[in-house]
Amino acid sequence: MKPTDDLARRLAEDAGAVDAPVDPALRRRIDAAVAAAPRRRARPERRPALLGWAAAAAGLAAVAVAILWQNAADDTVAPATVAATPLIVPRDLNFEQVALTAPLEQELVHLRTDLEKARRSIERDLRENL
Amino acid sequence: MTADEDLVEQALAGSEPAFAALVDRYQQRLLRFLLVRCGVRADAEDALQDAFVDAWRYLHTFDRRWRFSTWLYRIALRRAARQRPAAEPEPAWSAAVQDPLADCMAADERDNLWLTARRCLSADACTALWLHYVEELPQRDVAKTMQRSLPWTKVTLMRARRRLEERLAAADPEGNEHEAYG
Repeated sequence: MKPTDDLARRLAEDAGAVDAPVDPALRRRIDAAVAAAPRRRARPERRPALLGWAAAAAGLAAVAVAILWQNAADDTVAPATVAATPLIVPRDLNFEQVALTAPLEQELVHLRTDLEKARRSIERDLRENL
Repeated sequence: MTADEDLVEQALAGSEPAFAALVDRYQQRLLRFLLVRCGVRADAEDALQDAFVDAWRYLHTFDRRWRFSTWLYRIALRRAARQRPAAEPEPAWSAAVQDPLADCMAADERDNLWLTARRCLSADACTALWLHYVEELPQRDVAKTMQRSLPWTKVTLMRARRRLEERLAAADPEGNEHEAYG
């Protein structure tokens, strides 16, 4: 996309006037940090399959408990006031795997910062759109 | 010059020099962008370092349908957001002397438009303007980078332009340059 008007042209030109050379010390810092950073590799996704089996097993167990409960209730003499038997409906849980890679305290700080940023972003969007 | 995508492929194969070439290519552009985004120069430098480290660590997640610059700027934005403590409010650029960006500009220059933008626009509006008009990202890529919707990006860019034009017109009541921005 090319600047199409004077304001766009001036924005691009003035950005170039921001003289921000990268200090050699900063560059050395970056190189050292990159060299020290372990490279992440994509991992095979085994967890979802395991979780699927676990969810299915939990669901079957819940259905079995519900059936036994129902049968036990049928065998007994009905009392004057019959309490409603709660029907347990197994549901698949929707959750994501979280890999904690940094020290927990650091992860907590990052999560809190992300949460706060998301809150501010939502508030800002609401203010701008209302 | 080797294309970004080729360097990314080489870096993915483990070539540190290829990644260093990407750092060479983007370090200054990214630092300028972060100076506009962050309140403090030290924060901008920290965010720059962290952005390149994250890019190196998570290069395998790079989606080749994106431009590498779009992906890198998105990482840098996330890193810039983490520099400020959560409880601290957005910096208010009420005077040029408070703005670290002012230190990067020659004293005899006319008012840099980005200083004006920083004073009258939100940080997100400045970021959207920069990505669109300086980095020349299409609006769709700006939206992706900022993790916003395309309508939000279009409206924000339009409002930011209008506000900037109003500010320039107010600064030059005789309208010497006003017609040029109309």
